[in-house]
Amino acid sequence: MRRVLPPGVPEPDFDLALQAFAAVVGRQWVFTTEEDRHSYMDPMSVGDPAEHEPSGAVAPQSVEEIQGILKAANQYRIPLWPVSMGKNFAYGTAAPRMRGTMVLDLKRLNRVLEVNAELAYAVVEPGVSFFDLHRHLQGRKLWMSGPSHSWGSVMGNALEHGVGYTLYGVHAEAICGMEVLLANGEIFRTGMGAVDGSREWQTYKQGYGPIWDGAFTQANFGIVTKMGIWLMPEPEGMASVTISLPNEEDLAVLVDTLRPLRLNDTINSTYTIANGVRHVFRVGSRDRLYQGRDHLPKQVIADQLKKQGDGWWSVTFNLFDRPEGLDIRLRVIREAFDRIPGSRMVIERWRQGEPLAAWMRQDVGLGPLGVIDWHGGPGGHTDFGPVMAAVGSRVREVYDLVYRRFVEHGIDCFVGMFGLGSRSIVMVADLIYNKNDEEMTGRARALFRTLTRDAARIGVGIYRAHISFMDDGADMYRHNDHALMRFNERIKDCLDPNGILAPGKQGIWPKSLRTQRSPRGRREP
Amino acid sequence: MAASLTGRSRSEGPRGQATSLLDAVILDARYGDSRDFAVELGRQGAEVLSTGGDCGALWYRDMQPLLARGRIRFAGMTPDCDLFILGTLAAARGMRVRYRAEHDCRGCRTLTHKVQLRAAACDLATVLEHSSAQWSAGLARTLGVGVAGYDALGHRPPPPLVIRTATVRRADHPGLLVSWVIG
Repeated sequence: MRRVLPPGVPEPDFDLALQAFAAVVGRQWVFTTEEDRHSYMDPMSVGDPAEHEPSGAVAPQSVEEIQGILKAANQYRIPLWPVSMGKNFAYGTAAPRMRGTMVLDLKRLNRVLEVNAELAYAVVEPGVSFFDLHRHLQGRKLWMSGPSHSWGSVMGNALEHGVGYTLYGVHAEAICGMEVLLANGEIFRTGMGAVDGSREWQTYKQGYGPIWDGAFTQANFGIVTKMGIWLMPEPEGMASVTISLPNEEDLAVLVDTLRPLRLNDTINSTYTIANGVRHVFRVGSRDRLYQGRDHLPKQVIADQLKKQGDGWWSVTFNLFDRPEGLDIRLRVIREAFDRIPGSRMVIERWRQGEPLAAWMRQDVGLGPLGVIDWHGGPGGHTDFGPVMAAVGSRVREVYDLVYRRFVEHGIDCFVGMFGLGSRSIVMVADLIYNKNDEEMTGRARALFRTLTRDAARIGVGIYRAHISFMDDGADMYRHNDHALMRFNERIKDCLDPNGILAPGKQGIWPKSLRTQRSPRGRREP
Repeated sequence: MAASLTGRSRSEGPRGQATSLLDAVILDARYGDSRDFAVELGRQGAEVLSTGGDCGALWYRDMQPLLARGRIRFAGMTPDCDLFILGTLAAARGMRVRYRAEHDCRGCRTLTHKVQLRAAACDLATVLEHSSAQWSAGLARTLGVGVAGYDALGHRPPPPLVIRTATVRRADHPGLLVSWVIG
């Protein structure tokens, strides 16, 4: 049997570690066959998935079992890659950053530990999916904020800075209180959870002293085993607004019109701006529109938009308020956008007591994943996600740069921009490819790397990255010769001296494995 | 949602035809080839379910009663992403993809079939080579009774058997459809 070993770990030690893992969780929950390993690899890999092939996986069912695994991993220096549901498609799914890392599969920790209707929060374990929580909340008049793809973990999505479409759509900001397992097996609770007998763990984020919740998001400093997440009490009313603008040049005015409305909370949830390429994806298959291997020509896009009756830009957002409050918000928004020639506004409304409609995005599903069939398939995608100040000129500068590079690389520039909070916009420029087409995935990889270089040059960083690009993303954060990364690595080495937890996650490498950093992100140790 | 293409449910049983070994067939109503495929398996007694544009919702809602029976066998002719979603969800319950075929007309007017299965493909090949506009119904007829002998494709599937045909694509064909069996 072909084996994959963690770097630097002798085969006899690996075998002893597997025996120790089996003693903790039972032999049936330790996975090492080739088929097992394959099931944890990235099915949408932008390149050779073997770059991130794990040495195996182990699936505990309790915190005590994780502690047992950590003990053995420390003893034999086995790197572990914790995953909750392993459904982080576009960013690597369950596959580890470093080949040979063992996946720590937390799917079996799948309890909703508490739902508090009075204070509108839930406490979940890593293996609770959005489908699970949605089912759990039925009839409770509490709404969760779900992403486009509901099979992922509620916890995993929040920890990875995912987004949704309610008042709590910035999921990392909806986290309140964690239980964390450190690499040495010690458990601690953040915030008010550190007070014995506290009833405020999920109600007050700050606690006493530093706020640590954020340190365990997009990080490898510990394993989060329980997490509080704020929910939204069912509102009295809701409106969904879609505004379209006709011309490609309208992006800056769109952003500058949205900003004050978001800053003064007239628009009280996240918004999504979509470009013309994203609109023409509605035809379902590129083959129906254009057969060239270059980027969709502007004229093809323009003709299709005309056929569909769409403008080049649209922005969609939800408003939450009682009906008379919605009337006021909608009037203010209409007045603002009426000043832009050619803008059109479409509104859907709902009031408490009416059945939920599909446009409310309160249902769960996986429909949006269909975009990966753009080239027919088997498809895959990853995202380039620059963070931009919500200022028209800045967003236009970054968008123009991104679009130009997509055209040069012949990858259709499918863009959604998310207004997260009131002052920033995250652009999610989707690189969609046929995963078995080496020439196409090669172009996509080159495009991603070109974009990180270009964006860093104008002072822009990204919000998230696929495992293949985590070092590239980290390299964009260069102030004072990467002082932030040195700080992260000092913490890493202190909390995890054997470097067993998620080496390379977000570019943070433990001392013993810094040579594994990809060349582009490599610096002096 | 449960589709009523055949006007009868599985419990009514087949009407004088070969009985399908499949419990269900998944339909994407946007595509004529998918409809023909599902109607044929529905005639053989498989329960017809529509993707409704979202295979995730299909799995977590409409398929739950079927899945409560335990391991099932089901097929479909869909865009590839739907197979990806259903194959991933089914794998977590120990089910595996046992047959996969691409029906490809990207960039041309006629169909090429690329069949992958771990069994003799003679019957399928004959059907695909000689079928005309109703090729997907013929394929369904053969699959419905032959499926029992199909082993899991696994993570290293066999190379595809490529069958180029003169069959002209339907106007609603998206460029690539995939037929598949999971069980």
